[in-house]
Amino acid sequence: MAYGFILPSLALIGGVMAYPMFYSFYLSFHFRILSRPRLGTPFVGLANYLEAFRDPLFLRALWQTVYFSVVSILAECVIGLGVALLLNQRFRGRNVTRGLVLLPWMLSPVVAAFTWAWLLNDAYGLVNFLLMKLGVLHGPVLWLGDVGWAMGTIIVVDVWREVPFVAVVLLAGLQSIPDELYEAARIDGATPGQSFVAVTLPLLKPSFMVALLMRTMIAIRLFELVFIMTKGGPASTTEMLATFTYKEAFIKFNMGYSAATSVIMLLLSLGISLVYIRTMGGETALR
Amino acid sequence: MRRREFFRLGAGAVTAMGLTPAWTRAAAAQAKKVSIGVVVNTSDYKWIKLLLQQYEQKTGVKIEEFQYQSGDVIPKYTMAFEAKRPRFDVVMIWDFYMPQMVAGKYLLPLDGSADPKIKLPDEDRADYFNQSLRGVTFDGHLYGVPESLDAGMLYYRKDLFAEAGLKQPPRTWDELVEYAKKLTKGGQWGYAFIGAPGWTNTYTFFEFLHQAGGTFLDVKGAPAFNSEAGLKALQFMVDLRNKHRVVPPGINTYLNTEVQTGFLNGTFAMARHWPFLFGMAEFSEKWGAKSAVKGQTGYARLPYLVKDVAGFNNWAYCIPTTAENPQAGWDLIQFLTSKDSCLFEMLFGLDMTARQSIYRHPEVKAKMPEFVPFFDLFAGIMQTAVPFVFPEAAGVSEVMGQEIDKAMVGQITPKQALDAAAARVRDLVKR
Repeated sequence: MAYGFILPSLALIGGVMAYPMFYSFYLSFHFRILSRPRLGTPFVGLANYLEAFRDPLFLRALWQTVYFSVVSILAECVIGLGVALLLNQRFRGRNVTRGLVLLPWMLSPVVAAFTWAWLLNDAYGLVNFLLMKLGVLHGPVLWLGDVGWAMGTIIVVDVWREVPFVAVVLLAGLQSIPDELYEAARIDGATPGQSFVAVTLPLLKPSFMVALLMRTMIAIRLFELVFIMTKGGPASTTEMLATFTYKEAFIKFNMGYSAATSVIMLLLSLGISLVYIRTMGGETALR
Repeated sequence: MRRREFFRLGAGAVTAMGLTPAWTRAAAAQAKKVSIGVVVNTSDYKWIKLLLQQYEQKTGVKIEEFQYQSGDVIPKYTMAFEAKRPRFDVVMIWDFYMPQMVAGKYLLPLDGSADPKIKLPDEDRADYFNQSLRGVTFDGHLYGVPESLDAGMLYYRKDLFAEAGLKQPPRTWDELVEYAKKLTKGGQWGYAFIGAPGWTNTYTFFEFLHQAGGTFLDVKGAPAFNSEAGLKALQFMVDLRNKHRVVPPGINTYLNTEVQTGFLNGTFAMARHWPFLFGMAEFSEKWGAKSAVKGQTGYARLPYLVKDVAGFNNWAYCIPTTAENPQAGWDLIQFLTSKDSCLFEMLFGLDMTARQSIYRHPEVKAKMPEFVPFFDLFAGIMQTAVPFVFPEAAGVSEVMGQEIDKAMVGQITPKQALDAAAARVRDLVKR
């Protein structure tokens, strides 16, 4: 009877998620150009995967995705923890502040991307205008069009957007830590710093794992920010696995190859998740 | 009723049917609905939707409209054609994508070769710009009826020109650089164009290439852009940014919106852009746009090196080979591209129709006298414009765009970029 209740959900998940996933996996072993149906869908074995690992653009997108994920997630965890610690304090207007902090995360990624693209426009964007007016810059910076700045700009915008999520997850973790533990540490003569290292961090491990897992899966498939703000440029320096796969599928119509790159994305995501679970999924122990 | 009276009545009825416009007669005899795929994030849609409503009211045939965005309409059309769901009777396509649609055998010829009843009449054919029909004709067959045009034009600020002592718009590349240098100062840039990687920077290069006397592909479809003319074109494009510094350095991120915004807010003294910018600049209230340059917008043909040309594209109506009711689709197309509809397109939509006669229509001259010189210029540009249409256009533009982008930011030389692009395009087309 229990299975009867979950059957509709399973059917929906199967139809919407499992079938496309398995079909994509199947397609990754075939040659298929969507705009040339007469070429058929011949089986090519691992050719698409081998082509990916020989394709300098794919390898560049892979490296840039890993780099972006590591740097942005690290920044989000550090800043998110700081925000969570602040929001865990008692102060006037704390509840309103908690709501306001969430605003960037509540914005649709597409809206955020378009807004930032306008703000960062080199010729008439507000950011350059204000920074030059304040004397911080002596000339406009090419935030999105310079190979030295573009990736960093994408990371900053992503951190701005995702810190609230990490902060909320860590805040929930902080609030579940009993006050008695901090009291006991104080009685034992621990400084606030020592309490933080010995009590807070170990007990926050499960929350960190949730935040890291969720953020990693989303970071690996980053699309909107890059597609709208830089289109993968300048000179492919912000090309990510997701934008690369999109272009192969929906611009070049190379469905077999793009299916292979999307499977590689999935495996990367799964692999990293397993690493997190093994290294951080153990029992939480206080020193 | 006597036999004579019967035959007289019958003859009268047949004659009356013959006088009825073909599209209403045929449509009335067709199924009760016709389905159309339309692209809604274009300037055309605001008048197309009104025409579709008019068609419904006049014929009683229900329009089933499927709306798409230009960014992903082609994959969606392709999947619909493959799955035969939905079975569009008409689709609106940018001719840039038509070669791959034709190669996939997704579109019906509209010249009577597939169905004698689906044929663009000769008198209508004669009314379209030759170049416009060239953009929708493949292997000698017509696959689309053009409904609106876009061709590259030069826009400039008359007030800034007067201030700088410039009496007329630049006609050559050297003049463009000279004028742009005079106009680049204090946060204002002399020139701007679409330069983001992809079809945008490829389009800009395509125009410079043809203005330098080059061609994009040879007669066999192989890359011909890595020629001396191609090198001059790409070097010029790169120099505008890196050597002369007359375009904003962020030009390699600019799509249509960035260029038109910069012109309308007064940041760019000159810009290469599409015909609709004139309406946005001078009749902004009708466009729902904000223009800080109203009353100061000049327009001209693009400057050139060897050949006085611009690139252009059509939006066109086509009938898929999977159409459920191709005749109903053809009737709708004839309505949407009739002279009355095209006149409505210009008067209401401020859009450039593909029918030449509309540019000389007395109602256009009477109701839009301020547009007449603009329309005259545009009609002149269309006589020599080059269609930005070639096989595998989307994929080719993507690979070319990446190499051009590398040259623009100085990572590689223009020669390296063109050679790399040629190799990648050969691989792409070979598959």
